[in-house]
Amino acid sequence: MGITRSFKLAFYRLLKKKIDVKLGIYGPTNVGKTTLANRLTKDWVGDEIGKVSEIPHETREILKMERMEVADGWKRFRIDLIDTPGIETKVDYREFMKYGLSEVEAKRRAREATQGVLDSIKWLSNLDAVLVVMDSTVDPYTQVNITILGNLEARKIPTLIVANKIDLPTSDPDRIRQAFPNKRFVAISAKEGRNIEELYENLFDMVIS
Amino acid sequence: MRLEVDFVPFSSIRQKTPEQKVSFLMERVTAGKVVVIEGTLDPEEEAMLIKSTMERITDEFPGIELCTLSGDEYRKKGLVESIQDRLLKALGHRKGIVVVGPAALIKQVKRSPGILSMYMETE
Repeated sequence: MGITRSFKLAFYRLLKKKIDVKLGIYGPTNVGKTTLANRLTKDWVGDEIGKVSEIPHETREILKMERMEVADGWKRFRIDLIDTPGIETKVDYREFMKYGLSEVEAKRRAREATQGVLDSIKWLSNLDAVLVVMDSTVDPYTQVNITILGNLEARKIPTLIVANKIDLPTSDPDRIRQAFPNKRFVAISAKEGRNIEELYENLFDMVIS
Repeated sequence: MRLEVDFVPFSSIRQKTPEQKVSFLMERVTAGKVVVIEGTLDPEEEAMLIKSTMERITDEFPGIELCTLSGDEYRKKGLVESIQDRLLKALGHRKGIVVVGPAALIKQVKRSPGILSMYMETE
């Protein structure tokens, strides 16, 4: 443990001060960001933050749950959780029509989705820590993942990679660990709540380090 | 459909600001071209490119495929290698390639640390 971190912890412990954290959830579409956000907010305050769906870009605007008070031993946190729309390099309304949406609905969803991506990028500079969620059943070595991680690294924002969907039979979280070996990593199932305690340990350790 | 690919040496974009690089790329990609650049983009430039793409999406232009490949960006590096990389970067050296093209044309991208494969379909 570094000297700065020790002093910081002693200071917070002495003053019984809460550590303020603006925590972002980032990732491409359909990796389970809102499922994870719901798991966290249900654990912390008993409420869900947003709706989940199998249609990509279900979350098209920034979802926020603010000033949640969370304790980890003697450490007290006040967390603002920011669940962001998935980042993509393309949004084609025709893809949404494959899920049964009408052309009008699909085009509206596409318009809202593009605005969502813009908002996600804008929020990158306003965060203290980020959970980057990846789907452990698919190849993680994508441009979107690389761009998100690169931007967080450039802004020196502490980052935890969350390999989600380990409840699925085709899940291979080690592929994610190997693709980004220099990053903090945890493998979970947000849907079933598997390894959530491990995620909390990593998260709280990351925000006070 | 005719496929046009622009190959751009790093020297052609070295002096450009991030905004100029992004508009250089967008101008070509929205015209249906694939652009291959020697070197890499900064993460901020990549984010700026995605932003610019989102602002231009229409029914006919659903976005871009962007791929940067340096081969070792997330390989674990030793201290000496990391310092060496930073020094080279500070001196303007950018190893790697960037490929940007219209998503309507590039149907699939497969990448591994050393190889980038793109599958294109023209009408």
